[in-house]
Amino acid sequence: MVLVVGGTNQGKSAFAKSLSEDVVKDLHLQIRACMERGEDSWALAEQVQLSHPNGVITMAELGCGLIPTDAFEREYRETVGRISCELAKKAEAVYRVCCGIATQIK
Amino acid sequence: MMIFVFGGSGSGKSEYAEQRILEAGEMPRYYVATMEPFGEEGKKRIERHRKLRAGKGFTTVECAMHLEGLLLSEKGAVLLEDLSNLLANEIWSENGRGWSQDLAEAICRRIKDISDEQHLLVVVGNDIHRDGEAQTPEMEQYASLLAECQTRLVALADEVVEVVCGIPITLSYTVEAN
Repeated sequence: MVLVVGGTNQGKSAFAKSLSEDVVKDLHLQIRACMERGEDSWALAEQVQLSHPNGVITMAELGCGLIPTDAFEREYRETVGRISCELAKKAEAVYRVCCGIATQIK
Repeated sequence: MMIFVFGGSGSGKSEYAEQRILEAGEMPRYYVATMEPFGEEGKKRIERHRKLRAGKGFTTVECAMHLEGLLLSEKGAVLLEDLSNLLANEIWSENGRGWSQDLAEAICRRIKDISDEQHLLVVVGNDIHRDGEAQTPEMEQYASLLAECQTRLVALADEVVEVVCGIPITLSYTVEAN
């Protein structure tokens, strides 16, 4: 599995598609939906990894702004951050995309 | 020696900062805790950090503000976590300095002194400036002061590391002269 992180609208998906046909796009949005349903987002992340062992997962890098005033938003960005740390540990490679430029950080 | 570690919320910067302290070898280890336990969420965050540090030999020293009063009994490796809390406490706590003009300078001067007194100081900073505008002029002023602190510290630090999803990215380091 390869992980592609970066801010929103930075070209993560286009870069991911250049690596593989098996792309799981915007995992953070799936995590948000999962949390809104009150379900376990860690189980979701686990399941995505298992079903795409050779795929590329893209995920927004959140948590780089002021602390949100809304409690759900705080928990959401924290969860996305922690899950991305976990996925990065397991990934064969990690890229960070900024202004369309991908840097391999692992 | 000072290492400045920064990253977004949930980026894994604390864990990395702790690892740098452990790598410094056997010596007294201090954790300077700046967070005041406001509400359930605050308590949970502190608990999470405590668990992360458990068994690593840290002595926890509470210092929510006024770093000049920080007393560490021995020379060792110090983890100061984190700058955004320290600054917020100085500004908004009843006993803090408030919006004094030289706030960033005073905080950074003391941090530099601690790093000179100790074998190693790891300071954890916060990447809060990349998600749009602050909602109020007060928050804007806070963000600007934090940026000033961090820019000053980067100039004083021997090593600057950004942590992205748990992965350290070295932004700068000083080569020791022989």
